[in-house]
Amino acid sequence: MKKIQLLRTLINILFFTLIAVFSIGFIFFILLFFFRDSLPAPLGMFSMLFNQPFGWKMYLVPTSTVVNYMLLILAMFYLRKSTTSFLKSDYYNERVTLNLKKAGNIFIFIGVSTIIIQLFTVLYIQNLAYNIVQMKTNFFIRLINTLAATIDLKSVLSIIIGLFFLLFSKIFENSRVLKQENDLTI
Amino acid sequence: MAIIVNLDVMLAKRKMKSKDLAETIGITTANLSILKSGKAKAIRFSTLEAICKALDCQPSDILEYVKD
Repeated sequence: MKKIQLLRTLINILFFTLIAVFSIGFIFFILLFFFRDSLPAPLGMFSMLFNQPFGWKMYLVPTSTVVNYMLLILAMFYLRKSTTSFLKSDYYNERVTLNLKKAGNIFIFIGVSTIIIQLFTVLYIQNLAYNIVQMKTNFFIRLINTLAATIDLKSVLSIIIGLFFLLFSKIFENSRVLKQENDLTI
Repeated sequence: MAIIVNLDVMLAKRKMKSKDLAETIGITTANLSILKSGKAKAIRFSTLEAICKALDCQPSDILEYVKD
């Protein structure tokens, strides 16, 4: 029980911290967007973000980061809901399996989308660099370089955690069916 | 479900109340109700044996297979 309470506390801390950071970031973004001229000089520097010479491509990474951040908050929300049931020793609830499944899917999405966005970014930067330097490299060396720069441990860990949540969800679902059968055995 | 529980019929034949049968075989009336209504997923041999003993009948008198 103490472990579940500790888990719940940690998830609560993370959940509310994520929301607080997001809220501060959002307020800062709004200030930057609408009142960039009246902001003090050090903060006003960030208004350069809106004057990008490369167009939409430069917004791809920040946008995907914000979306993934919001999805992480949502995943924490679902995990929080699951732990609420765990605290009541209500493990074989349909909501628990559903929330774990949703959290798992979100973690997998975050991992996969991060890898894809990173791949596009790396390819874009590599193309720029190769065009500037006029370098000719072996295809396989270039492929290995691209993969090494694309796949980071955090994204892979996110996918693994997501798959684990999906597995837990399946196990809880099976347990729920078995418990139901056991309860209906006279 | 393909297995039909004819406990009501046997209870009527033996002129016994559900409550009395539940007390005799040592299960709750709620569980006996689940069994009678066909909501039960399984029945233990010990329960079946106790029912047969209390109603003086065979398992086939209580359980019946009907094609879906």
